[in-house]
Amino acid sequence: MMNKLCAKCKNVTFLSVIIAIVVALSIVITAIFGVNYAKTASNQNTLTVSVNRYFYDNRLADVQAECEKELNKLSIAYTYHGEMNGDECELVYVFSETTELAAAKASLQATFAEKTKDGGAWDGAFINVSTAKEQALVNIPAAQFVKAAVAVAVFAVLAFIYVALRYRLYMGVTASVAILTGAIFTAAVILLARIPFTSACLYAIVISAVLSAIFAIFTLNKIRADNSETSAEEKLENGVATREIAAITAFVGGALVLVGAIATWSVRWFAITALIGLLSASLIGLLFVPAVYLPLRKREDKAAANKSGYVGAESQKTQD
Amino acid sequence: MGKKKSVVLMVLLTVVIIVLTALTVFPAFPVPGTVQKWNPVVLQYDLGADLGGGYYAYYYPEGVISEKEYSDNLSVLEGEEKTDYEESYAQIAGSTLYFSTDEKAGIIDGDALTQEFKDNFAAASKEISARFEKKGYSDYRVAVVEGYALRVELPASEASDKASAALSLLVNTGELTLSKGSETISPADYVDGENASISDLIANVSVGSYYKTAYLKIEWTSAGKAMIDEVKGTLSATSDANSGDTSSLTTLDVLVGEEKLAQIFSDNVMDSGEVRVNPVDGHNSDYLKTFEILIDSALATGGFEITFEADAVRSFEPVYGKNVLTLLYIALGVVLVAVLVLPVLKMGRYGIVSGYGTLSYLIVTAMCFAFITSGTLEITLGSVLVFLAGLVLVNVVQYHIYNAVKTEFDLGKTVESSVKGGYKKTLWGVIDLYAVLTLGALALLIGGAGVHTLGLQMLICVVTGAFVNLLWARAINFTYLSASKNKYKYFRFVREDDDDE
Repeated sequence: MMNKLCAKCKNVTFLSVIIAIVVALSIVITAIFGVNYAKTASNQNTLTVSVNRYFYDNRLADVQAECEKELNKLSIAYTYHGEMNGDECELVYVFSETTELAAAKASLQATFAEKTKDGGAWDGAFINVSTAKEQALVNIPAAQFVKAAVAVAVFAVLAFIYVALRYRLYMGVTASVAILTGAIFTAAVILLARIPFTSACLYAIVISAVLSAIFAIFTLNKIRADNSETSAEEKLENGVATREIAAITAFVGGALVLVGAIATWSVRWFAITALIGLLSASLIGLLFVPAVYLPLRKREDKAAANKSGYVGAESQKTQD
Repeated sequence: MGKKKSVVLMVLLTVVIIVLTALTVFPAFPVPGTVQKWNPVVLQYDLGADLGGGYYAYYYPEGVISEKEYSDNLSVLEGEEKTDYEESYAQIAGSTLYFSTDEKAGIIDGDALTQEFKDNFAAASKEISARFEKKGYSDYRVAVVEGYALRVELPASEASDKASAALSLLVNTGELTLSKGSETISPADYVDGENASISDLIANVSVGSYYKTAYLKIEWTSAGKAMIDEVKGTLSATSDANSGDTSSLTTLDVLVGEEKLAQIFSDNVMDSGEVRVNPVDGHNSDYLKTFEILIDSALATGGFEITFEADAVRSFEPVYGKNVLTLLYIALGVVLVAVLVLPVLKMGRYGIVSGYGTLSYLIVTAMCFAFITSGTLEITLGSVLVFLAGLVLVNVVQYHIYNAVKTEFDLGKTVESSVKGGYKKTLWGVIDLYAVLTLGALALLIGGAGVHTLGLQMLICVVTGAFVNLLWARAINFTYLSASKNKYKYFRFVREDDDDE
């Protein structure tokens, strides 16, 4: 049933147009608004609470609770916070670059001054509050994008050479198109959905290309193993590796949903990104690979028939 | 294979796999009666900043201090000293930093920063950022703080001593010089022209290796060769340095700013003029890479008119939260249980073979990630995804083979013949799949930093997966099937004519 459905969606032009629209939209949106880098990789405002080592080791939870209380009072939400250990210890709260922190700083300074004064509840503690605007010089180096793109392109070329040599030329083209489309489509969806971009997104894009290759090879394998005298359409109907693609998508997707459900917000974004990569690869494997395969196969069949001098091929050519 | 032999082999295999799985994943606990702690393999990874946190340091240009340092210093002063201190620093609009008002520092002119300071800061910070990029960290961050200070973050996968070295050396903005004793070598003595510089003497600096030793290789221009030939005879030998008295040693030193990066002895100079210095164990070639990047940068830029003072190096928690690794392990544990149970439900005892394959994949990849390329295989969220995809792929391929066996069986063949036929028919398909994935992993090695690491990890997963699907699970299936009394039940096959009988 699923196989028939996949084989029915064999209009390569229609699918290509949809993919092209998504890619074009993502380019336009990115050109207008820029890449939506995650807070960990972009400009940010920080509020740092420095605490002397002894007090930090013994009363960190109290200092943290006080900070949270003051921030909640002012309705200021932070994107994440870190605890830094060294000769001096710090609690660093990270906010978006548009968050105004002057009031929070003044409020915390007053609170800690009251608590650490002689005879105060935290007498002997040294607590300092400071704020800073941080401007990232490098988000993700351009060289990393370029090298990742080159790696995917080389993968597509190598896959083409291997599959073309082992199977048929048009199958090699199908495999390499699947790899490139998988990576490009995933990148486009991530950019279009404005998902916070981190280096983990690069991994998701690259892995999407790998999954697209796996799905394409499963399908090409099945079609190649079919020695029946049926038409290309029928072979394709039986050949789409829906069971394998569905199993991989279900297991990996299930795991990612699980990770997204139990992990922190940042990992949740990674799980969503990876899920987009997985679903894009599944889409490529189930719909785009069959759609690309069929016209290429027909073209080669026609060329072979022409070469053999088959009369039907000539008449077909005239009709075209 | 006889049934008894098969049973013995399966028992042995089960024991080995259970022990190795325990070594790999059994949770950490303190060993009773000792101060030692048991740590499974999965807790011995070099983690990236997303999962393991990292290190960071602040850098302030000379004459610039943080708000905290200013208030700390001010709080211990009184009277005139306090007033003098207050006057020696000023703030500018838009920054909480304090800038020296000393004219010699050349930072402030009136109420604003001098253009020269601004330009120097911009140029130096850009170059520092480029130096860290060249180190190839999967995750790092160079940020400008409050307009005129820097903060650099490195991932925890870098050993703390190497991270400290990188954090202190790569921010050095000094000029590259060569000095013999107290005398600085002047390039003008060896090169014609007024604008002779150190880059007229040094052609290239790189990291070389000889067996398991890595060293810093300095190659000279023709003028540099003339210089090194001239001074070589006057340099002490390394054996002199080992003799004890170091005060009388004469060496040619390579310095960036005040930092001595290499000490050249006479026997460090090869016959070709090439210099090989700072030999270290091959595993520590990262140190030398830092030296190489710094010297290259200093050669190219000639140094900057601004120097940075580093604050202490501090560590930070994982970017994605303290418990992210535990949560990930819980999620992976659930998936692992699913891929162990579902195949048994779907494929009967052949599913148990898949279970052995799954555990073998887990053991081999987990150990390889931890031990094969210590220091270079940092575990990121991408690694988790690659591992997960590989784990599922191994099981899907097993299922693919099972279906082929079933198809053969449905044609009326015996179980043995179906198994043989199923494996035969899927063999080349599985080889093709793993061959393409191997090519993919090799292609990813081209990718920079994190993608390169991901390529290495994918290579490990692909090779392990291929081994499990093509050889290991097949061998286990052969042994297990030999020990099985009812081969139909083994595969959950039902033959209608048998039922009739």
